[in-house]
Amino acid sequence: MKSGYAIGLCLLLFCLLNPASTLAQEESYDVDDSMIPPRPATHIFDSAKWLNANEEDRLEVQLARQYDDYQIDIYIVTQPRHPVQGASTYARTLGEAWSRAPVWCVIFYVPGDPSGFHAQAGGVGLDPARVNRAIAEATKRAKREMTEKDRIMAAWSECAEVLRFMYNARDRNREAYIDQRQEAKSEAISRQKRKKIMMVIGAGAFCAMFAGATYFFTRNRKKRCPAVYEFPETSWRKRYQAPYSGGSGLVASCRRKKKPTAEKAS
Amino acid sequence: MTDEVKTTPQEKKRLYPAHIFDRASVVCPSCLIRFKEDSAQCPNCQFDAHRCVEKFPFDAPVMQRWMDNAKVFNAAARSEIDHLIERLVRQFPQVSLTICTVELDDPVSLPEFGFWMMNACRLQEGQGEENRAWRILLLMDVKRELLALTPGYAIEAFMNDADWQDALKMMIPDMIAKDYRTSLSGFVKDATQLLRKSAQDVIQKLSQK
Repeated sequence: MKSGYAIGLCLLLFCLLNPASTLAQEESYDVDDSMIPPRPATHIFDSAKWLNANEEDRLEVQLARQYDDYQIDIYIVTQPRHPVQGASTYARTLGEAWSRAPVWCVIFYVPGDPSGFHAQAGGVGLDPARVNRAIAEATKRAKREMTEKDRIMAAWSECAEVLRFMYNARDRNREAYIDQRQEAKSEAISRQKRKKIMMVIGAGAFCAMFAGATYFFTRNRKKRCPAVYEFPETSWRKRYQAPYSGGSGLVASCRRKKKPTAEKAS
Repeated sequence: MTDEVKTTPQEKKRLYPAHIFDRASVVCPSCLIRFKEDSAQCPNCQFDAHRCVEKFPFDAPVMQRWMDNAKVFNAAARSEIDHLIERLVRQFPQVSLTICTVELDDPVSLPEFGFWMMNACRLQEGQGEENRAWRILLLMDVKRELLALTPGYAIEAFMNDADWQDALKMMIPDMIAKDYRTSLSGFVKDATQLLRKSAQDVIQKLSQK
């Protein structure tokens, strides 16, 4: 009797616990998110069937235009359950896997999630921290709308605007940078040219000065007598029928001239 | 690299007229009058070599560096002055110097005596006529305290009379003090300086041509 009662109690517990454990299992492992789904043909991946056909078409037209006109790849993703890795991480993974354009954005929403949608974005050459800040601001603005659908519509629009701005700003920065680089380069070239011209002028001036100084000194300065010097031969001025020397008047007397005596003076 | 002989072989062979250098006029050693033209006899006193020989009818000695007839230079003084003369000769190999001390009496003219010596003295063994023309004779009459300088034809073209006259005058104070050694060594140094100056002038003149 006791054993039959125990078996019955176990069966009852099993019946009660089994659906709960399955539900818990389902809640903790919503979908197999390790497998990233392939990129959809459109910009909407509505696996939660949250949007109707008209909304989906209208939204697709607008998102396709963003892609065509501004090269911003925006995806609206809905899922019935939360992904294991978390909504934000999952959205980022999808964006990085699917993006075909330099800038991408994924707005992920689990219908009925009280925390609302999650937006993630990124782009080539964009600072992730700045992008995250801008997306957070855009999300904040979008969340002022009344309904969740309006919020999501506002969110992609806001995010697209912000990303467009950032991407263009980056382009502008790059152009400015390139301009700056070119300007610096041309300035450096012109500085080098100036330096070369100055060097040529300086060298020319130095040569001219050197030539002038050389001319001046050689003209005005007497040449130094060499260590051994031979005078040139001259035609002798033979005179007084003398064979070797004509004499000279070079005479010096050591005698002092006599002072006139007193008698002579008187 | 030594900066030896500056004159090229062409310049050596070439004969330059003497008047383009320092000596422009000639002086008669007898009457000491200056003339512009050379002549066989002095236009003023008719002095010439024959008359001079008549005045000094002696047997002329061999001309050499030292002719110390008055015996005023001892061996030490000669050695010291020889050293200075060697230095002069090293720089100017053509030029040579003769120092002759005499004790002459009053009527004898020292320039005339120098003229006679330069032309009448016999050449030293191994010397040519060319050497005599490059020689400078310094006569020191220690008795009458007179100095005279007689250059040969070749060297006279490069001797400025005023400069050499000053060199002689510089000897006077030591001559009066009977310090012949200092007097002569000072003259040899001055002579070297003057020849150097003449050489510079000649180089300058030849380079401007």
